[in-house]
Amino acid sequence: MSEGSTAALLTFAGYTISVFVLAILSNRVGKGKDFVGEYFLGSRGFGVWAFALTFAATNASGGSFTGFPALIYTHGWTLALWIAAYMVMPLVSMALIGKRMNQIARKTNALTIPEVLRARFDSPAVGLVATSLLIFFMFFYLLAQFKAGGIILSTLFADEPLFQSAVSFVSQTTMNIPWVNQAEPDYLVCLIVFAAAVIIYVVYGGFRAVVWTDVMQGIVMFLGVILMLGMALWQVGGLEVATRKLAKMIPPEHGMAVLSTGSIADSDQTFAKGIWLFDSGKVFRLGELATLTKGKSSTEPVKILKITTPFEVEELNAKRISGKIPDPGLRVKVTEAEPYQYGAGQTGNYVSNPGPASSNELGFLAIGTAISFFIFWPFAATGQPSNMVRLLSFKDTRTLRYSIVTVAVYYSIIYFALIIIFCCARVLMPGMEIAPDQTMPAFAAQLTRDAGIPWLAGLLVAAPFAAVMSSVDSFLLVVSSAVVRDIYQQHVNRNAPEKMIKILSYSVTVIVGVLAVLAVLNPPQYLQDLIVFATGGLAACFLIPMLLSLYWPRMTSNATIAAMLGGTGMHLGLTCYGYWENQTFKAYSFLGVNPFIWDLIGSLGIALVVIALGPKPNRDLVLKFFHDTSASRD
Amino acid sequence: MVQEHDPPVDPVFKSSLRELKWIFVIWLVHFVWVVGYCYAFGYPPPETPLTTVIGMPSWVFWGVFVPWIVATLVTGWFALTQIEDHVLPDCSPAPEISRADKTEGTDHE
Repeated sequence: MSEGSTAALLTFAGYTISVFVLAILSNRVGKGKDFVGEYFLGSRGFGVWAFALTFAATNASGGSFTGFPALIYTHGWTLALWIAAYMVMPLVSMALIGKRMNQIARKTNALTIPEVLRARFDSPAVGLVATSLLIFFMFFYLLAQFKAGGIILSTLFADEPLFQSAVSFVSQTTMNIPWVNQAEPDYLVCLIVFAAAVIIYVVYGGFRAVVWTDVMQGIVMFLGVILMLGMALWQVGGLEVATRKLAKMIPPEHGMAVLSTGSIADSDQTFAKGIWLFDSGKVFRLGELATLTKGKSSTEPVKILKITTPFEVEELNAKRISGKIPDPGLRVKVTEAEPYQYGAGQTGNYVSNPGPASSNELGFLAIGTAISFFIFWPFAATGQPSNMVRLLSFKDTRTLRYSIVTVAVYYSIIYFALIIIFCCARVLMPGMEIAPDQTMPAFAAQLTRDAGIPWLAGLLVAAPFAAVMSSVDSFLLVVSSAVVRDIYQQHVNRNAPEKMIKILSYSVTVIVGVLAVLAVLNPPQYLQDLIVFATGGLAACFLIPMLLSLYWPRMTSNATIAAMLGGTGMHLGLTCYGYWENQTFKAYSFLGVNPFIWDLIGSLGIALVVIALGPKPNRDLVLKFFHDTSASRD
Repeated sequence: MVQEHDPPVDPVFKSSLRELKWIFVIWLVHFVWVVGYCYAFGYPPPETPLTTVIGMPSWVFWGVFVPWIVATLVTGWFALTQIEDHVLPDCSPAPEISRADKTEGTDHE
């Protein structure tokens, strides 16, 4: 067992214990309070640090620590422009609707987003449509995060003997269970461990436990990033060195190759994914497991990555000669080369826009895409129900104000640091294009090993795990609250006793979690695209209706339903057309404009038409929500 | 829509609406700065020599890093001095509106 791997296991164990301790404490604090308000909203009593860090941690999902580093590594400094809208995201997503929505939720005692909309128009139909669409889109999101949790854990535990024993036990136990036996056993073990941990602490501690663990997770993420930043800059020799080296780099070349030993193999030999291959001064990295079968001298064509930057080739050859990198002595015959469609053979692409791209001849970030992302990030975040529901939980407006500042500073440090860290990673760790999603854990392991402190890798790798966990717990609670509060309490039994609600809340949380686990045993092929589909869909569905409901007295229940369905319809329509046009599960960018903007235009347009043609709003509701009726009574 | 004898406009609504307009303005100013600057200087022709400021490409420094710092300072200033504090309502359940009052299309406006 390696030192780093033991540290990873100990870190995870310590981390999980802390999470359960927080769940137990929050359960004790919540005792004696109204169950529903406490379980789903923590009794609306959160102060600055709890509120700010739960908002920040929920928003920074697993993507921030897996997908985002992979993108920086693959495309370079252009990611600074791609993520730039995060500079205004805390202000937009928290202040645009926070105070007003919290006020209406308090006035109506609403605990969920559909409930806020239902209460605003006193319309069960509005609540039902909002609940249905929320559950529909949110479930996709939940699936993706569960999958990410399972994958991160399997990376963390890969070398653990105890884990390998568990994998073999589970593999044998589940081999005859239909559906379950199709899952990779190591992924299955990690998925079950991850899901069990999250479901238990959410059920036991409710929203308060989710917020408290978010605070801890937010701190873990922050510390992890700061430590990595210091080590990366130190090892690369400063940011100036990193950027100058990046400017000289040439994008690598994907391809296929036949590997041969020059003699007939007398037994089967395998070559692991990721090993380095050297042939006539050229350097390649193996992109998948290769097998040389007995009686043959060469493999079938396998994926390889050809390193093309001269100084990287020199450094890797030098490490081979010094014995730091083993040479398997294989000859590499390239049978198929796939140069980058933008940036192949050129220097300077990693330090300028649009950045190199393997499958887009316009580069990674054309200016139109950059414009779209500056609109998408802050406004899509504003429209996410998991963010909105947090805006119902702060205790006073002062908390909101100070939290906006806290999140703004937090994001400035985290996201800019991530860009610098993984630009350094591109210089220090060649060839990760074979598995870009592994960039974060691989770089954490390399940095700590080279610094002589491998035990620290566990803490650094805990950061992405914390990010995924903090998103999963929130989504789990949003979906279960929609079922219990918006469907059961509103439409089945308005006067259900607290004991019944309690049992139902726990059961629904468990059932939703178990269903999500079952669904991601065999994740659909286009899971990453489903995340984009769910994020865009939720914002398309909720942003315009919520803004108009909060700020426009003329908004009506019919227009709210129309806006939700209009945004959703546009989103589904563009996605279907995109699938038909390009055979990929991606929404169609009509006129080159981000589909999210068309979704908002669709949602707003139909709302305006319905308002113009429909009945006027109810006067009592307008007075209740837009006038100070207490002042008139005085 | 407002009638002569209506109670005064809700102060939380009024201040939130004013803040919403300023948030759009702040977002727009940064949008124009970041996208405009990066479009002008961040998409150089091939083989353009690299210029850096404190180790980052100069287009990142002036087009992303500086506006990011400004945005954080503006966010702080706006949140601490421009967003008004209000006493938010208690969470007691609101009285139900009777079905008779709920029909939309009553004489309003």
